[in-house]
Amino acid sequence: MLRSILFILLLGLSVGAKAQSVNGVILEEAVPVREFTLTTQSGSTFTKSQLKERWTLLFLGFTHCPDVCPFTLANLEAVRTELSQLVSPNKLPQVVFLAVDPDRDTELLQEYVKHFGISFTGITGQRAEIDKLVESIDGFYRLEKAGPDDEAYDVTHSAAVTVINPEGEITAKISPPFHPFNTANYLARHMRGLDVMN
Amino acid sequence: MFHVSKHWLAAMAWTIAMLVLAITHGPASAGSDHSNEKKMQPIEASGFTVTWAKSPAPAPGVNSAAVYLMLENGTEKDVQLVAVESDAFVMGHIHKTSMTDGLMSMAPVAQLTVPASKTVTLEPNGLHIMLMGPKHKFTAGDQFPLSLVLDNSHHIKAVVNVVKPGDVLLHGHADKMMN
Ligand SMILES: [Cu+2]
Repeated sequence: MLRSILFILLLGLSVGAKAQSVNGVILEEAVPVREFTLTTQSGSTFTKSQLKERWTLLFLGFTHCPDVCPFTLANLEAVRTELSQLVSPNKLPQVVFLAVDPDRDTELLQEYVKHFGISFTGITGQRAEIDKLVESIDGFYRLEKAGPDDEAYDVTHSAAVTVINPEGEITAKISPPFHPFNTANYLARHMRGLDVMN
Repeated sequence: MFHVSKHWLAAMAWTIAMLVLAITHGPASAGSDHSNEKKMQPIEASGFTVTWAKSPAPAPGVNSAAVYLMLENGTEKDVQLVAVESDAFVMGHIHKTSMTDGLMSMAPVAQLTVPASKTVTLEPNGLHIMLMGPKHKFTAGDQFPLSLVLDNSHHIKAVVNVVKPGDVLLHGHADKMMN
């Protein structure tokens, strides 16, 4: 069932591929990510060294995000599935979800990652360390707390996914929509150094 | 050993707050000015079709759920969607996610126009119904009722399917692709 939907989807995509381009920006010069120390959902330390020796797709969000974050996670999983047809397994990027709302995220992150049942790493930690990484990727977030007792606040945050190369350098940014097939093709070209400059 | 986690306390405080809200405001609703009508049996609007109503199961500890759907107005009059209600949640709102200068944010929509003979699609990164305060835990495969309230206070009834968090993806895109 899923396969046939996927097939129809792909058919639709290949027909409409031209109209569905990827909102990507390739940096003229790769920018190294600065050092930071965060913690993964399983409690292990996550630093810049975990960004090395593999490609990374990093995006920021929060566990209480009802719409954008689950959708982006699902999209990036679909991108990985598409990419697995195009690149060797060692080039398949890891997906990293930077949770920027530690007051609510720290406790939930492990269950959150498990809930999706897909391959990604959730990281969070001290506000100052989160901010280091957010700054590094030229990202932004703002907790929209109405007051100290507001438990249901939204978080305004950057929409873009940051592409980090195996040297731990930012090489590209991709903005929504993340159409799985097109984004995978875009990334496959990018990782091979065959970028179409935009 | 007795251990009360911060999260448990927060959840408790939140539940109490929601209960107070529920008592003072009646069943889940967004918008206002129709609290009186609610005591009467709502009139069901005819000529409307809701399809694809689904809600990704929220992660444990998350007290809100997004609902996506397609609403077809088969009548010859434009209508306004002014509120959403569900017996399974404490309250609900219509929300719009928008991207401005690369930033994603979410804002309430006071009323949503559904033009005559047109379909409005609520889908990820666009419009969604946000339900707050689930009255019990939902997992993929569950269903819950939803009521869309029009400006003439008529209700459109729908059943929402709870799906796995990634399951809105294929349909949402497929629908878009086929247009
Ligand atoms: Cu919302």
